[in-house]
Amino acid sequence: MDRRQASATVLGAAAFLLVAVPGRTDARGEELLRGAMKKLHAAESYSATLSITNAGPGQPEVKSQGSLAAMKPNFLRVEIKGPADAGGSILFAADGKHYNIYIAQANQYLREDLDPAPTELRGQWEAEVDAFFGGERGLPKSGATHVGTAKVGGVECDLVKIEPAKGRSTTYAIGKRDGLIHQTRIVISTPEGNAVTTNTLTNIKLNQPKKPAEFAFNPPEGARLFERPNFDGNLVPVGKPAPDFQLPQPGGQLLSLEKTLKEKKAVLINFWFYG
Amino acid sequence: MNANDPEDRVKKYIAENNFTFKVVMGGRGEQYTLGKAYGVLAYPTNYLVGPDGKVLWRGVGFNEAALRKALADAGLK
Repeated sequence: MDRRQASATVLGAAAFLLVAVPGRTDARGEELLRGAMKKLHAAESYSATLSITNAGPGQPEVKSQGSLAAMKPNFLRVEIKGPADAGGSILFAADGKHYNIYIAQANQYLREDLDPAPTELRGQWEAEVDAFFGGERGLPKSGATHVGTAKVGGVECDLVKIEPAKGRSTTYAIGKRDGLIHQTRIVISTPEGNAVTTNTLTNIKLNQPKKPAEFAFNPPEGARLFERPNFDGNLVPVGKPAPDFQLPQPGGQLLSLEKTLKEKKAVLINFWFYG
Repeated sequence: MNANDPEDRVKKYIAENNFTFKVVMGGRGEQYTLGKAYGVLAYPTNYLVGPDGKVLWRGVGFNEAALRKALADAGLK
């Protein structure tokens, strides 16, 4: 999942207090989930086949297929092939130097510098990839509950549920034998109903030999680098006069730039909003 | 320079955060014209203005190091 914004994190922290009350936390759920994360974090490489279903409230299920490959310290290739009406195909590729996100429908890619040892990478996953790179750090401090068992792709699993934010839960299916995550199921409640995303991992392999070259990102023919908007382009140039203003302070008293500058060495004007 | 917030919200925020500097209300919606005059496309944007009213430095985003450098360059430590 995308990195949450600061405000969402605050909401998450508040919701976390709600789920951490005694009776909602159990040691078994905690142990299973943390164990799975530790196991991924300890591995040198990780690969799996992905099968993803998305269902918005009152909407038909959309299926996507994909693959995941990761290698320490900073190599990743996650490819998801979805139907055109569900965003099409997307590729997340960390090649050791850059982190590239290629969106096939737009034939555009984002490129950013890559941390030498990242602890998380932005993308469409819940915990499995971030656990491989960063271990347990993405998990709430407590609140995991064991909610049952199920067979996922023929594998007997324990189900462990966390609620990272109000109205949002993730249930992990953790293999009874291998202790690995075989499925993540995210439920987000909206006023229109539940949105459910299920990601099933099969053919999971740890510590298979891999080479950096397998993670090379070569932009497809004609692909354009997505340019970030230039927020500096319209600013008043250095050395030019700052436009004067006369505006009310809270309460009504007017203040002008000219007046503010009197007997000052310099004035800092900060443009801000609360939102 | 506050952009687009209602005055009661701004007052509350100033009180909660013990602002030591002056705040002016940039206005809301169509009335907010100062951002355009200063070419502000993202927040926060900061301008350092010298006593002659000319721009000494400007920057977009949270970058304390760049501001400190600009102050030092202007002989303002």
